[in-house]
Amino acid sequence: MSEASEKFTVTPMERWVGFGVLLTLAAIAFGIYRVQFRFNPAVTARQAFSEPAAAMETIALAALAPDVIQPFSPPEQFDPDTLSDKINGKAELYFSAGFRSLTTQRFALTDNPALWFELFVYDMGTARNAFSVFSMQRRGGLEAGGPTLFAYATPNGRFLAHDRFYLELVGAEASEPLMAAADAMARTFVENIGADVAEVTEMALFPEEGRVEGSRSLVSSDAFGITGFDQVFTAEYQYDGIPVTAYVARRETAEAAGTAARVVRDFYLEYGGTPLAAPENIAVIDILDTIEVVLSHEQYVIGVHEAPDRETALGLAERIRKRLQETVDDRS
Amino acid sequence: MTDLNRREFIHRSVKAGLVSAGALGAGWWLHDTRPPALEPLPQSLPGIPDFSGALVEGPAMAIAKGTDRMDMADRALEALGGIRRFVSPGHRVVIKVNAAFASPPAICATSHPDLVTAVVTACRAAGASDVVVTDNPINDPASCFRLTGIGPAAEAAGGRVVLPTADQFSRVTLSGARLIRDWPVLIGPLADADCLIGLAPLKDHHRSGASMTIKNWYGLLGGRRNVFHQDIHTIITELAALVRPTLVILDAVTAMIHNGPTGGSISDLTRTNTLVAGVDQLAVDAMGAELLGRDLSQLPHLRQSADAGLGVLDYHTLNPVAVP
Repeated sequence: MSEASEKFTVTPMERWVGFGVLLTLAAIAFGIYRVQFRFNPAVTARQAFSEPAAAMETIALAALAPDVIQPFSPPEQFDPDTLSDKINGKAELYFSAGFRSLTTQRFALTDNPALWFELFVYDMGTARNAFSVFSMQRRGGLEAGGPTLFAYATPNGRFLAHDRFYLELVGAEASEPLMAAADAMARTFVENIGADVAEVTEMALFPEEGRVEGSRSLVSSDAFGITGFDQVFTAEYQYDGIPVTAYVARRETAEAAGTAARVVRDFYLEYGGTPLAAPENIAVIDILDTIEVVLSHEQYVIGVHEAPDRETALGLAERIRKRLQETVDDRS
Repeated sequence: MTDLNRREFIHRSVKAGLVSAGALGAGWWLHDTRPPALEPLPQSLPGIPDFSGALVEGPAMAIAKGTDRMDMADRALEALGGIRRFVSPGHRVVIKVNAAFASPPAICATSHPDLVTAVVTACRAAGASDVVVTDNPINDPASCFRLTGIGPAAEAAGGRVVLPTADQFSRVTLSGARLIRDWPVLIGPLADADCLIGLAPLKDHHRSGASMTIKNWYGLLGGRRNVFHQDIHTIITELAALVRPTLVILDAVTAMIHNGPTGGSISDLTRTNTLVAGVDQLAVDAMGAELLGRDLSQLPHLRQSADAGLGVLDYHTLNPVAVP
């Protein structure tokens, strides 16, 4: 070996140390590169004065107004970036259910401008999403003869889900003339949208016997506080005055449904539940003196939440599974 | 490998030095000493003045029962020793209302105009030279104050509505805080005030579990404050440290028990026929939680505030005065 080549010879140890130093420098450079994009929001904060929402599909609400009312304020539009500027603390409820846009406008009675209501039209993207936010905020039972299958009335409000839309008509007072105008506007909206083609098939799986009228709901995310347990249909039942919740969630595959059922089972066991004797492939857990049952059948997770006893829980779960099996058989 | 000779050592050292100097020089040359562009705001202030000090001794909390907010407020204030315990002639009073939404008073998502009338009137009667009623609402401020009825009520009673404008915000850093750091706060109306009173409705809240007197200070924050919803209990705890009011009044005559904070229906409300006034906002909120049917596990910010020494969680120890 020549003297020149000997000068630049490095030992394996030195070579590895060199690589180590280079890797460390590269990691630091990468870290700096990443962090520079994560500003403290305070640094870039702007004042909380709403900016105009980005252009989006416009719904001309004023065109739906009956003769007895007139616009009381200009229309406003909000997208996912600006929804908090309108409803702030409740925005996350809509985000978790697939919110797309909100259009609002106030209308007042022509002959009494002190009586006004505000119409909120939430575009939730799909009928399932619209039903979810409708059911999560439901006050009381459904309205017989309402403008849609999913509608209810309160003294100062009208609330309904139709197609991909969720509507709220919130009155300044519990006034009959005002609510009559709100009803008329809601009906016109529904007629303009046309037939509701909602396919919320899981709802049909809850047996009618013992079910509380108008209690079926769709929880978009983290049902029963279980992280990731999403798109869960629930229904309330009454057994000797004791409320019990049944639930059904559909997954892409039977394997995914089985995994989801195990996640639910493990959640209750982790929080102190005690497994009880149960039929094969069904988990029965005693937790805080109430019974949880969860199982998977085909692509579905079926469960009963906070039942008073094992027999009640298993009986209700079995009725849902039977209904599901009948539905599957009908299709085949 | 051969040992380095002196020449080689100096040669390599010079090269390493040049590389280091080049890197440092490039860093210096590329370094941008200017901060990111900000909204034009006044310089940071140390924080909001502490309005809780120098109070005349007296009861810490009063609980009035009834349905007439104006009457209940009068009786609760009297039970605390009278409005003159808090407001002296010539004082400048700031009343922080909840005017968050441009919604009607009937749905109780905002401070009730009757309560605003009662408190502004009482302050004026005590000789206050100026009674400012303010908030930084979520919706358009002018619409919020008008449609909630707060603006007309305040002005009719002798108050002065101050809508938020950019020049009234200053950047504030709360010592030791994780979230309130160099954050714009509506501090202008408070800068030379003698007395700060908070008027909050009792409400359910989708994120925080409840919105009461401490959460009401959220309305002093500017900027993109909705980012704080990701850590809602920490921000409420920090607000309890940031804002030390003279007096707070929690309106639970009709509490919003569902679908908060916006509500939307009269059927979201339940009558508890209670109004709580006190000098310890944590104690007042602890009672509010009871009225709302929430336990401490659902409202971690109450425990966090207590652990931080920001008030009394067991409000019974304050011997609240019951006003029948």
